[in-house]
Amino acid sequence: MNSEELGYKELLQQYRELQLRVTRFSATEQALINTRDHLDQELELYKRMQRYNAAMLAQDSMEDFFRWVCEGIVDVFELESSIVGHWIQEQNSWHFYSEGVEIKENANWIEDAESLKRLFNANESQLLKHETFAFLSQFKDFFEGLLFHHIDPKTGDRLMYIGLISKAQSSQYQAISDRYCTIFNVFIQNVQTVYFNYQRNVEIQDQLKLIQRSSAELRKLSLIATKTKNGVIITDSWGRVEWVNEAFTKISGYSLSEIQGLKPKDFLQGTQTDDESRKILSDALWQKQDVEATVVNYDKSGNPYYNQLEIISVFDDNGNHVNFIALQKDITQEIKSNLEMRKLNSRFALITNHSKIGLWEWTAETNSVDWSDELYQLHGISPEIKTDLREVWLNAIDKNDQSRILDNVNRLQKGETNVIKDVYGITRGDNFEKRMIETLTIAEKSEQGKVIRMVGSSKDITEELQVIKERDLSLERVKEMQSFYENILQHSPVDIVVLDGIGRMIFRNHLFSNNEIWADLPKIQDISQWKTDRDIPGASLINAIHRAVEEKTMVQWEMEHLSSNQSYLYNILPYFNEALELDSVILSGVEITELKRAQDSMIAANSELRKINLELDNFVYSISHDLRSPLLSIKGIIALVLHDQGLPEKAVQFLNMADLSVTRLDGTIQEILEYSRNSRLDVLPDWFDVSSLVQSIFDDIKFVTEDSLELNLHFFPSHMLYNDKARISVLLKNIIGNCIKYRKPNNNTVIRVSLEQNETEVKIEIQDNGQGISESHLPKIFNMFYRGTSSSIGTGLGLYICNEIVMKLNGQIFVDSKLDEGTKMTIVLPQIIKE
Amino acid sequence: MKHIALVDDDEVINLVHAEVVKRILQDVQIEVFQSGTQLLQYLNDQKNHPLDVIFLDIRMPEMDGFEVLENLEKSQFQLVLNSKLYVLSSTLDERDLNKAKSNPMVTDFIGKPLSFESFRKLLA
Repeated sequence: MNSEELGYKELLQQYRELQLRVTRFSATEQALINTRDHLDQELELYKRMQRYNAAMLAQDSMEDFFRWVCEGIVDVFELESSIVGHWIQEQNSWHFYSEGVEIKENANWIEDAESLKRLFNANESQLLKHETFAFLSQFKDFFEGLLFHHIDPKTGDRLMYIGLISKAQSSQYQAISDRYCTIFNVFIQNVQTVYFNYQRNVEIQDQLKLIQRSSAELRKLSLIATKTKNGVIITDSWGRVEWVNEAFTKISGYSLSEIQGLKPKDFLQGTQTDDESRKILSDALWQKQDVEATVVNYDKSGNPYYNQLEIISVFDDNGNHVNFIALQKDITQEIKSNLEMRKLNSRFALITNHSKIGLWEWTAETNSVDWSDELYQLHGISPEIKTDLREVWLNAIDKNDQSRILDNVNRLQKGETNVIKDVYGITRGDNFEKRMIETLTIAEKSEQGKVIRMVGSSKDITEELQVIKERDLSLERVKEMQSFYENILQHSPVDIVVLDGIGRMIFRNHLFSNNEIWADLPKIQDISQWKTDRDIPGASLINAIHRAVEEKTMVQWEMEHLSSNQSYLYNILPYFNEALELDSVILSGVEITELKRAQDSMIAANSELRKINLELDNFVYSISHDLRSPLLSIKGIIALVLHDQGLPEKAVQFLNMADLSVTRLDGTIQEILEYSRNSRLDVLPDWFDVSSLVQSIFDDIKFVTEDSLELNLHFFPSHMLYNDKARISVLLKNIIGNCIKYRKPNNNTVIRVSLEQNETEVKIEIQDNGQGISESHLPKIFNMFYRGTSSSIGTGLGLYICNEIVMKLNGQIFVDSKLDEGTKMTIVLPQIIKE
Repeated sequence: MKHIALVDDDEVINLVHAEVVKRILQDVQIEVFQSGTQLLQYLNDQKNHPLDVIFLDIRMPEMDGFEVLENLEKSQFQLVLNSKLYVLSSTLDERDLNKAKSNPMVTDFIGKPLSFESFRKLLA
């Protein structure tokens, strides 16, 4: 081999080696490119997932939420279709949601879902291959997919998430690799968290609605309790007074403050209270039962009154006894008239038992008179004494009545009349007592018209007359009482109208003077038919009454009297009797002219105030802008001069000082603006991400130093907060700014921001390892213009503003600090409930 | 050569900003306007030499920055069709900030004064 040949071989050898290396190198390069592509793809998935998470929170029904999850699986993982199965243990049923695939025959899908559940482990992502699909009736057309299923240990609910690519379309999609599993895991866990939060949210909303409902109920009840004329006492479960209404105070004379915490029996019952009623009441209270009773109670000045009591036991939803509510009514007047009636009744009974009707008979043929035993008794003479009965009878009659009675008898005998009724007085034969007799005499005539017989009845009506007299007297008293009450109503400042069950006005006091409205009340004989579309003065009233009757509830109706220019507010209360028929409608109105005027002027003043506030806001911005402009020019000029090289060291130092002063002045202007805004503007809550807020605040101010700064964030359970973002931002900016301003030099400054929240509270902690605050300064740090040392960089406004903001948000701020160790600021705010 | 416009009623800040621009860009032509009207007048008269960058203040007397933006949009000046427009302001009013950022003609919002750093960044 010559040298030339040798050289060529060597060259060839080298060339091959080179070629080998190039091949190897390009293989490595390709591998690197592949890895990079995978990483890019993964990163893209994560990014998409993040965007998607935020949107998920915003869904407002369970259906929307799962539909959104389905969409998410398809969008984030770039799959063809997705299915979410939700097994609700309570309902014992599956619910399916899907995207890109139709779920028609539920039974088959359920069977497949159960198979998948058996085939694969829970709580981890699974790769589904077409081999698996072969076992499943509904998945035959699919090529590959992802599965995650989960069982809620608490409720037993199951969730199954499936992403799919079909055989037909598989070429259009990227193959699902193992790495998808990890991300799918993360994704599903995110979904689970949101689902959990969502359920919590629904629960909270439900509770909230319940609270709102019961508080509305409570408001209504308390309105009724306050307005009723019956006394109302509410006690705790031990029977001690918690609340009484005005009517109770009026009846009993006791005000709430005098009897709060006492048991009603200890101050209401007295000597005349009977033992039986006492026992009924105490037994019922002991057994927490409802009870009704009438007892004698005593008012504050010791006067007894009849009290009709109805005690209701109140239990909460869990069956715990919470209150007694006692309704009491002073029924002294009723009881009195009741007693009187009973007295009258018993007298009537006496009369019918003891009064016997005496009978007599006169026959023309014999001209003889016969008396019955009862008539002898009535006259107080013995049947044994055989005197002329006509004589006895005539002598017994009062002198004043005698001639009239004789006349009557003569007229009968002559046949001028057939029947005579009369009442006259007699004197009894035995004890010479005066009695009143009612008689009825009937003449019997022959065919020729001659009187052949007379029969008569006599009845002692002395007591009866007495009773009638007394009854008339008491009726008169009742009438007096009625007019007395009507008089009160007439002069009451409340406008009262009462309609009966068919809409006729049965009472109205003089105040109700706007006749024009009543003139239009329909003449229909059924109040429930009242409803009108016609444009008449009474239309709105008619419709209000109609509504009150239809809904069986009190309706409020506001009206302006056209003539007097006064406004009235009416309570329209339908009253139903025990048979649930409309008994009457009571309209009571109070004049609210002044109230309305005050309300109107308040509204006007408010809107004026709002306008002024807005103007002030614009003014404050203009001023701050005008103050800042020259400052910022100075800052710019200083930067320009400092930009020049070769300045004397002193000059650089002075310019930096000037720059610092300008910065501080600018800070003061900004803080004054923040203070002014905080004190004037309303709290404006919205959802925002605290995590990114803190990060951006930190990123904005970390450049002030080249020292090492580290930010640690902790959020539980979520970094989303519903609160006033602008205020929280100022708050955090100031506190995190302090962490950096007052850091320890030449030290790794660590700032830890944590947020914990539950249904009621948010707790934000900002902790640093900085210079700390000495104990003597601690109590004053929230004071206006307070600066720890003269070398403090701050304006003395920052923490003052923080405190003001926290106060505006109804929260509290605490500081915990040790000199040379660091400071921890804790802010506790109440959650703002989204309406 | 870059062609840059500064629109601000504050003469001093215009001077500062012009200086910052000149020190970073050697080959530059700067137009300084003390009001929006001046800018619009210039755009109306001049037909050549399009503007690369416009710095626009918001709070100005007579015509504020937003009115200038409205006019620019309406008139569709050839010279500014491809310009980048930065709002350069000292406002602290969030409403101004949001309004500026949501305007499609505005590239970005920058707080005054224009620093060497932020100018370099926006050229990049």
